[in-house]
Amino acid sequence: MRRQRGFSLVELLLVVTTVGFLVILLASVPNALNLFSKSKNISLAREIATKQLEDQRSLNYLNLANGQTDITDSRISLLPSGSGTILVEDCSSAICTNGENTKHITVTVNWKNGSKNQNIVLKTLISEGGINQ
Amino acid sequence: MKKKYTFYMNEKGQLILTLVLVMTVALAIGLSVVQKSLVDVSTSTKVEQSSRAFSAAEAGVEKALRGDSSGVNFLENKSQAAVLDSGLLPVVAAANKRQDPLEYPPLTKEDVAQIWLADPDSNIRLPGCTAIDPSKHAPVCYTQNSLEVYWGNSRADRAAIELTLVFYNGTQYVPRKWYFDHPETRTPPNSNFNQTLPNCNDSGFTVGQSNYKCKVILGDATDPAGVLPSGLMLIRARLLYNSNDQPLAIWAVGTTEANRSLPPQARNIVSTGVSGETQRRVRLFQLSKVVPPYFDYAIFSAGDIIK
Repeated sequence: MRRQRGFSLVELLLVVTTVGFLVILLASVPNALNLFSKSKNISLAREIATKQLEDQRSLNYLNLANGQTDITDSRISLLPSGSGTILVEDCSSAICTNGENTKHITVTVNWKNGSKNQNIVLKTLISEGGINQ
Repeated sequence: MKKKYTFYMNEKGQLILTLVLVMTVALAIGLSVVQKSLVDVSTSTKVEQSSRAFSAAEAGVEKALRGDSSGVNFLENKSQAAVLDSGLLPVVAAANKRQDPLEYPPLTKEDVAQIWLADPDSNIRLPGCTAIDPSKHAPVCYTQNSLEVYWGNSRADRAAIELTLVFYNGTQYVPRKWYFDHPETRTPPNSNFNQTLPNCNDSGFTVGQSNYKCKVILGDATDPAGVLPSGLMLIRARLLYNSNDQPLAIWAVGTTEANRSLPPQARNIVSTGVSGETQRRVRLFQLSKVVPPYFDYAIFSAGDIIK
C-alpha cells in the first residue's frame, strides 16, 4: 500500500478541538476580569451607601431636612464615573399609613461598568424618637 | 499493510501527551479564574441584598416605634420587612392564672437591667399606686412579699448577681441590696455574696422561652433580709463575673390579680428584612422609662456627690 501523507481524521479533530477550546478559554478571560472589577465596584458602592445611611441615622431627626444632596464621600472617586445622592423626604402615605413623623431616606450610588450604568439604592425610614434618637 | 503498520509504530505519541497536559493546565487555570470571578460577583450581590434587607428591617423597627407594626415594602429597590411586635410585656394575665415572666435579653457583664414593680405610667401616683385620672388607666403595682429571680445560662461561666430594690419606707425612697453567687467557691473567695439562698444546678429552670441555671426567691422565708417591704418601686439587676452575655428573668409570684402582677413595661420588636434571598433580622427590646446607668452610683452613694 502507498505511504499515506497528511493528517488522519483523529489528528485533525484533536487539533480543531484544542484550538477551539483555547479560543473559548482566552475569550472568557477578559470577561472574567471584567467581573472582578464589577464585584469590586459593587462592594465599594455598598460600603459608601451603608456609611451614608449610618451618617443619616446618627443625625437628630430635627436636622433631617427634606431634599436631595450629593454624597461627599472621598471614596466615590474610586468608582468609574461615580456619583451619589441622598434623598430625604417625608414618608409617603403608601408606606407610613398612620401619617407618622417619619422621614424616608434613599441613598443612591451610581457608577459605570464599561458603558453600562450601575447603581445601588438603599432605602430606610428614620422616625422621631426612633433608633438612636 | 506491513509498511503502514511500521509507520504508526514509529509515532511515539509525545505530541498528544504534551497537548493533553497543556490543555489540562490551561483548563484548570481558566476555570479557576472564571469560577473566582463568578463567586466574587455572587458574593457582592448577596452582600448588597443583605444591606438592603438590613435597611428595610431597620425601617420596620422605626415604623413600629411610631406605633405602626404593619411592616414596610420598598417596591423600588425590592426590599421589604415584616414586623412582629409583642406589645407591652408582661401582660397582666386573666384571673387565677399566673403571669408570664419578664425575660430580659442577655446582659453583658456589669450591664444593668431595670424592672419596674410599680406602674411606670405617668398617670400613676406613687407611693400607694393610685391613678391620678381613674378613667385613663388602671394601676398595676406589685405588692407581694416575695419575687422570683432567674439568671445565667451556664454553669461553667458562672454569673453572680447584684440586685437593688428601691422602695418607699414611709418617709423616703431607700434601697435594699442582695448579692448572690453560685455555691461553688471562687478564687479569691467571694465571702460577701450569699451562696446558699440561690438554687443553682446543671439542669436549670425552664422559665418562659429560656433555661436559667440559677433561681432565687427574694423575700422567701429563708431570705435573711426578710419579706419584701410595701411601697415597691423598682429592681435593678446587674450580672457580675460572666464572660458571655447571659439572660435574666423576673417572675411575679402567685396567681394574677392587678396587685400580683408586674406592670407591663417592656416591648419586643422583631423586624425581618428581606431582599432577594437574603434575610436580616433586627430585634429591639424597648423599656419604658429607664433611669441612667449612673443612678446606682450617684443616688445611693453614702455621701454627697463631689464634682
